[in-house]
Amino acid sequence: MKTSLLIASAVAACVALPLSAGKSFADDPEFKAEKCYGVNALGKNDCASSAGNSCAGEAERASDPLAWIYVPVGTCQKIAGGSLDPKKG
Amino acid sequence: MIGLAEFQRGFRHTLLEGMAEEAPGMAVYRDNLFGSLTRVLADTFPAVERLVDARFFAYAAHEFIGAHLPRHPCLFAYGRDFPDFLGGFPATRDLRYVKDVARLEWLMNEALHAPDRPALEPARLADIAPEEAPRLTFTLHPALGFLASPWPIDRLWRANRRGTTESQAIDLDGGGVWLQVGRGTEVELRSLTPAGFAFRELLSRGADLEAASEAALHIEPAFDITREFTALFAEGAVTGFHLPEKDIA
Repeated sequence: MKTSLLIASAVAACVALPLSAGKSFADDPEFKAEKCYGVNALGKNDCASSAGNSCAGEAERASDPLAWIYVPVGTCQKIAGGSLDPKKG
Repeated sequence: MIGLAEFQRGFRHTLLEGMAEEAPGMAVYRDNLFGSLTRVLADTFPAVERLVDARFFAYAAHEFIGAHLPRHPCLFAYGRDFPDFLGGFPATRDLRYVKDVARLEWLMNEALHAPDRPALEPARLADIAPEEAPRLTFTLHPALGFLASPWPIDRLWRANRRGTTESQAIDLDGGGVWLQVGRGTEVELRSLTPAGFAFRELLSRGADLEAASEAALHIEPAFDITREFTALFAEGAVTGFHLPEKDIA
């Protein structure tokens, strides 16, 4: 069978199939972010102003109460150990 | 008083070239630069680091960084040339699979950071006339990448992932692979047939449906265009299509 006929029937078959919408996401991922303290993985803080390090990725310990990462608004309160304000010591 | 641009040029020069008498603290800046960029490379190429061992990786990274400073403020874009560098680096040149494992890790890095685009619904092709169909070209999801290698780099990658503790013997003569990298909720690695790889990879580079189909059929005469084409849509791999402008005769 000529390739062009195979192609035409492939496209027709695809159009006809009752496929779900596939892996589509309605909007580009975008979230309003809040700073969440005390939940960073070791060396994975976002750019830092808190005591102890000079820039992103420098956190010396995990879950450092002075280091923060951005998380979607509302998420910080759900993470164990997370705080919207820098925690003492 | 010197201007800012001149100061920055001088700082950058001293940072990279060093000076016989440089200001105290320059070494700190230099170490910080090379150290943090080495960590970026190790984060992006962890399987390579395990394959060649951490001290050698730091040495190779140091050589690379000196010649390839970041051009882009986003550090996840850093290291695009590292696979090619490893391919030419005398110490790794003979470990030819290392370059291909690095290429795979780069595709995974790009997949991780690629934007998301909604899948094209097949119904959008309903108005395509049969004679137009071979001329169709498609845009595939930005996270998709394709890599063929004579080395079993999928097994090499899996055996050297962060967290893998068991050692495995991998037969380097085990044959080639044709791989697709993509992203669902996390980065995915799939092994394709040679014909399926040719079909998808050509479409991803803008070849029309006829060229991609003929290449696949040439490799595998039993290649099922309908099944493979439909699968692309079912996976959400197609995000757009295009037909060349029609001539008005």
